Amino acid sequence: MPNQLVVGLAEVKWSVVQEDVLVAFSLGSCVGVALWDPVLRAGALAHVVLPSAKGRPWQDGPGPSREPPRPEKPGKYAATAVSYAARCLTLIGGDPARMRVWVAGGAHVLRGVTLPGGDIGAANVRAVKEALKREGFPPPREDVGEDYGRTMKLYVGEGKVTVYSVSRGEREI
Amino acid sequence: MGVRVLDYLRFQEAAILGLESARAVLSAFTGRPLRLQAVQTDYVELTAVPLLSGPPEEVVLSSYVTFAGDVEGQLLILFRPDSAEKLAGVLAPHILESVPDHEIPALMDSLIGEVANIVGSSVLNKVADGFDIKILPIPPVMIREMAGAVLGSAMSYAGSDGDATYVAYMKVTLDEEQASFDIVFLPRLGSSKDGFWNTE
Repeated sequence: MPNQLVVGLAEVKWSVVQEDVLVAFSLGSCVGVALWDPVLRAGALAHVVLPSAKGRPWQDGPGPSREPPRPEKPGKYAATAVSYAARCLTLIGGDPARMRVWVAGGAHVLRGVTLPGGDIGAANVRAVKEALKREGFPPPREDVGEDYGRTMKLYVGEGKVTVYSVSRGEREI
Repeated sequence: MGVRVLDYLRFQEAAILGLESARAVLSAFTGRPLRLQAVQTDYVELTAVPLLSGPPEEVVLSSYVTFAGDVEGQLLILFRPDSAEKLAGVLAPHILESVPDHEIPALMDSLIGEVANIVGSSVLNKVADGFDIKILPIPPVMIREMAGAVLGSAMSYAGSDGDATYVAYMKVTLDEEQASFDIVFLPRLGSSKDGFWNTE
């Protein structure tokens, strides 16, 4: 019987329990990042909310730059989320170079709305991919963008990821 | 970091006044007795925002409004499908019966959009009055999507430095039937010129 662990907004969870399924529900502009090490058969899932802690770098041109006023949850920003998720697995012997990586979400579900901050979903996807590259991960499999919400599941025992959306149902990526 | 108690109490009062005002307008609009059954305001962690309207994967019909002025932010009104159907049925029973099935979703979006306009403008007006500030909303859009995806996306736009936000819930009864919707008020924390919504 699978044991479902919900990865909430700005959270990162990891597991070596083969029955565990890590789930990020209803990703809109948020991005889910799943890492899985085939030797350890261990996985981590991050629920990224924003591309960066500094100002609003997804905007074009120069903007204000400031640090967060207090320590944040590690999954809130792309770079810290990827770094923290990677560390969870490398601490137990994982190797980023051999890991499988998946990215899902980053949609623009607020259809028809142009916001001053621009398309945060697309900015999240870009920031996550840059962070993955910096940390030495292979290119991710992905299901990103468009304008619909997604639920992402990482099956720890099988090393597979599924994405569910209302219009497309559930499928493995 | 926390929000001043005084701000919260003022928001609570403004939300209740706004929701009562919305109820009165809706009652007049529908010509049917409409009672406010429950009003609740809360201050919640941003991480809990996607769960505010129940199961995050459940599809809801949402009205989404951004506003500027003395404070920036967003107002979302989320209707569960059964509540949307009841409200639409009350608003335009004969029209809904006469249109082809494939046109019903668009018609329902339009009808619920009207309800959302009434509720949203009532709440925003009372909040603006209560705090003596200017709030300038842009026309709303209707979105049919997973509740968690809509709320999570809106939360992202609420600002990178906020960690909590205000919400108000409203439940109404239409004759013997219940219809409920959730109102989520997401100010961009610290966006006010005079310190309103600022945290300490």
